[in-house]
Amino acid sequence: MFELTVQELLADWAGQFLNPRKRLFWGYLGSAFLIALIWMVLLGRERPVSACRKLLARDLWCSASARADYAVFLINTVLLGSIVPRLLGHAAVAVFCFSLLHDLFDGRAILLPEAPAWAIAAGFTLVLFVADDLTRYVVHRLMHAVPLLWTFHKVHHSATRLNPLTVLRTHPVEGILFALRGALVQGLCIGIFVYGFGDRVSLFMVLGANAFKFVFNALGANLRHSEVPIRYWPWLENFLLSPAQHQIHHSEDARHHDRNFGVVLACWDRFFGTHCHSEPNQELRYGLGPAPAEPHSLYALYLLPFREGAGVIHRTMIRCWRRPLTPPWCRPTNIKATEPFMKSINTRIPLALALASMIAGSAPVAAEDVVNIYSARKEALILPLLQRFEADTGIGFRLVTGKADGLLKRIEIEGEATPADVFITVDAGRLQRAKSAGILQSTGNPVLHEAIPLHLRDKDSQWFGLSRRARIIFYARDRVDPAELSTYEALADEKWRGRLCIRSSSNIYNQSLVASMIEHLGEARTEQWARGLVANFARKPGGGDTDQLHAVAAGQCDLTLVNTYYYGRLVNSDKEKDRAAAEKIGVFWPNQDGRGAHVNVSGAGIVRHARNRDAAEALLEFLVAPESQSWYAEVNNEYPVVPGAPVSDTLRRLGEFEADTLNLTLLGENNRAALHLMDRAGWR
Amino acid sequence: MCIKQLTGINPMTSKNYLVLAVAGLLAISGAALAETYGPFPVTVKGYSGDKSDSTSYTGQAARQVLHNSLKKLAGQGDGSNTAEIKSQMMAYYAGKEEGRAILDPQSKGDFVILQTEVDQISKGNDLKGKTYKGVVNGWPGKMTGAEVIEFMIGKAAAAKGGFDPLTGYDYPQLISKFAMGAVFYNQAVDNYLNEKLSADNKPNSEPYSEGKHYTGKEHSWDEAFGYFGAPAHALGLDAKQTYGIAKKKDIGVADHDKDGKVDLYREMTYAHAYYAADADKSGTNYLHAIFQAFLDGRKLISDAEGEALSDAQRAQLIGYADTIKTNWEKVIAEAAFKYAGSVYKDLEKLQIIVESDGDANDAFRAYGKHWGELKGFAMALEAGGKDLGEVGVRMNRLIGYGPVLLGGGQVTGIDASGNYVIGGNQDMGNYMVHMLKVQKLLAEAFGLSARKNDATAELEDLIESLGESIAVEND
Repeated sequence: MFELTVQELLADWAGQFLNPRKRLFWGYLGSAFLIALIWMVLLGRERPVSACRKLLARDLWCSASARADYAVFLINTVLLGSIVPRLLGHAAVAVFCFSLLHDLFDGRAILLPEAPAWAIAAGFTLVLFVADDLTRYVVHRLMHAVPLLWTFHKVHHSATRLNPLTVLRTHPVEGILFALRGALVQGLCIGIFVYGFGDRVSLFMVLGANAFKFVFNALGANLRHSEVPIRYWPWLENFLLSPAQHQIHHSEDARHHDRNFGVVLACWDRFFGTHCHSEPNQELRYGLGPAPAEPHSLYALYLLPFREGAGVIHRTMIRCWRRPLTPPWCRPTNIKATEPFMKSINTRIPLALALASMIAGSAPVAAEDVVNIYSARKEALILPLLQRFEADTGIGFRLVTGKADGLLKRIEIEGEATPADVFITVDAGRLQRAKSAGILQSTGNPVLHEAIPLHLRDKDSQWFGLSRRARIIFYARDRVDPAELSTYEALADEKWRGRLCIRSSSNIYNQSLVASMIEHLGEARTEQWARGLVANFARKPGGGDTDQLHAVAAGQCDLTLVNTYYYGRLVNSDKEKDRAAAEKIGVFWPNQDGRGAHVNVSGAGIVRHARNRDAAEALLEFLVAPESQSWYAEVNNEYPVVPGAPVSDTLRRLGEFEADTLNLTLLGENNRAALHLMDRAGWR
Repeated sequence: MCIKQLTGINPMTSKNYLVLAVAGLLAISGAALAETYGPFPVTVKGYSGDKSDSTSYTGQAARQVLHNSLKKLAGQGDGSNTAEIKSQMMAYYAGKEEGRAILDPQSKGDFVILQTEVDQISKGNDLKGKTYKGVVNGWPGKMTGAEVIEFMIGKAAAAKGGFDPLTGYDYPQLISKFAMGAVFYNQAVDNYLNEKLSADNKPNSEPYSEGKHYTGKEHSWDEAFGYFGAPAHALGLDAKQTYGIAKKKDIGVADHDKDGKVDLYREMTYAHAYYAADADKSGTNYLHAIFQAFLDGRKLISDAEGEALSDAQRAQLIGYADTIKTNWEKVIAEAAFKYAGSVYKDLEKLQIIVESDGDANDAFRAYGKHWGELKGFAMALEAGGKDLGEVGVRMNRLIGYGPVLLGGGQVTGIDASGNYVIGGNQDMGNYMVHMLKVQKLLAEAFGLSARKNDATAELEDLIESLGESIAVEND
């Protein structure tokens, strides 16, 4: 286990004084000495020679406490030098975090692409420094608060004289915890920043050390563990901890216990109520008081903590035995309570397997009696309808589901070879993109033309709406009087300043809403409206529609613009939390005295290179039949496109409304203009 | 013409001329003096023919050009010439007919190539007979190595330009990279540097076959060298020069015998030697380590002067073979590592293009190409005859049977009619994570150091800049 050679050991020991990344680097020790000297001469009115004598006093540097510090320093180099490299390293944490972010956000994010590398480097250096300082505070506080950890941290506090080497007077167990903390913080920061900013991330360094740490060390960090009570002005001690404040942390006096846990910044101590200013002419005694009897012996430094720790564990177990704590996860299994869950699993597994086999077997192939579908809607939302289609018509189907924009590009790339006959996706803007990309073809099918109102289908008959959704206003019932609401335009009013939550401008639903506004108001007025809307944002745009509703329910904002089916999902959710959120939210149909509420569609089109065109048309005809319309709309919490088809109970409760009858083709045609406009208005 | 006119600088002094002349002579003699693979003396006992050089790997050089030509053909389908292209590809893969033209490498400008037909190097060779006979786990259908290549040939012939947009398969890359492993790597490491090193198999005390001017061990060793694909004078070249020969960059570097033409037998860089040189441009030494071991092994055999190798000599020879095998495996793993990084970058680009509604055609094509290279090399690692165990299983699961397609999903199998089955819920974001894991797996399992296109290099650079994490300062 202990594989260090003598040469490596000597190098490690020497490295503590020669490496600028280390606290005991000779340069930092020198600067601390100079600062202490100047302090004592100028403020303490000492003569330079006398001050030097005090700083280098034999009784300080050769005290039993100091000798113990040196011994711990030498022994720990051997112990920790062998153990720490085997622990979880920051590289492993960084790679794990980097990978996890790909999963969470579906790929790589490049944030602030325009930001210069120096700004990213400055941000990274600052975040790393702050995160390091905060976690040091937290770990330090835990070392004091948790009895088992305190038995190990006591080793550090058993120093009765303070010198810069006291900083390394650490029990190896505590050293391991510190190393793990460092690995976690550095690994997380590196993983997150590289994920978001790529090769623009670097560290501002001086002499190979983090610039902030260099400044901290150069300005006398070593005086924290000294007996020179350098203090700052009280106002400055509110921001930065002075050496005298850390000396208070080491004070034997009970009134100083559990104070000033921080390292550089005082804000953590202030925020958590552990801050304590230094005192003028403070004279402190350091250490733990009477116990242990020989605090500087190797036994007390290395073995006693284990013995005391065992005692803590023993006492805790005895207490638990007498007064058993039964946290929820320790309770005996409630067989009855798990039965419904198991039953549900038992019924769901075969269903899932059946679905999986159906999907696995759904490789797109071309044949006369099948239709190949590329769908951006999840299979659960469409599969039962397709099965019904197969049963009614005898035409089989092959379903490929995936992400909307990806599938669109896939059909484009596959070109003539594509097996896709029908493309199903959401939002007229995206349907128009498919049309512009040339992947759809026109159809003069009379059934489709007759069933679907003109404004809900492409003017060149390349795509057809299948279900409708409105993007309307949802508000906090307890904070907004619906009488205050009227139109989309009125949301730009100053009275809503800081009260609106909304998705980002990259979201197609918002793009389509703005595209409709351009058509109705013209570009200039719409831009003016968008600027007003942006000024009213309660927070940076982000998240999905459901997140906006939850934000309103949670009080983060008072209003939002969301598609109706997201509200329907909350109302019908299995989760109590969702239903409770829906209860707090009111629904408002805007522009009812004018053009009506903005409506969009999910829709489908026949792919340009479809090999099974007849089957594709048959599917679209089936999808606009009243029964299909009703089912498809209900399962998606949407409105049918075919007039007269029944509306679900959930949506019926939202009331009747006037819908904007703008031809949805225009949403796609105005899409690019909408994007540019939102960008100019600062809608990110 | 004076020096000033030539160089545009002040005329040189006589002292400078002297320095220049000496430096030039040293450089030329350095390259010339570097040892080449062959010629080696004839040591067969009782040989009475007129041959004086026992070196012989013409069959392997012929297979190198068969492979290059096959790759060239794999990209020539146009959707209407399927049968014709398939027949041509099979002629280069499974045929032994005479008269096959060398489709690649061919002369380019002043880079003139000596041979134009395969027979000018060696007659009667094919690739199929030497293809890995085990089952390839990395490809759907539980096929043997030869079956995989024939299956791919059928698909390649039907695809326009060898690329199938429905699956993302780039057949020239898949066929080439896999064949390099399933034929060259497999034959060298599993046959010539393994079975044929035993005492009784092709002994050194007998000619390789009746009447031949080389011994059993001499020729076995030469054949392994031929499959590696290095020019015989590679030891006198650096990685960039060796790499450049395959790119037909400088005939002066390739034409070692100075006859004005590049001999495809002894002066060309092929296959894994090319990828070894590619990795070595990043500071590794795979090419020369492998070459030197081949050279040392061959000298050991020659020094035995036609006698059977002693146990000690064989042990030493096996040591050289181990060096070759270890480094060769690393070369393939380095290439797979590099292309996993390329796939990662391609996915990143595609993500941006899809989100911004840009033109994804070229980016998807590049993605398919890099994926084909990654997959081909990964499958090649399995074809060495060594059981990769858990590493192989994990590698195959992470890479999957096909690249993840736009919108999600990938090839998950082949149906009874030989059609690909596309399914699964794999999305591109998660597949990026798979590529990170592939790189980590390869780097750790094979001890890689070139690590080109390392997708986590930025992380490591930062970690390095932070220094060691032992911070036990007690504040």
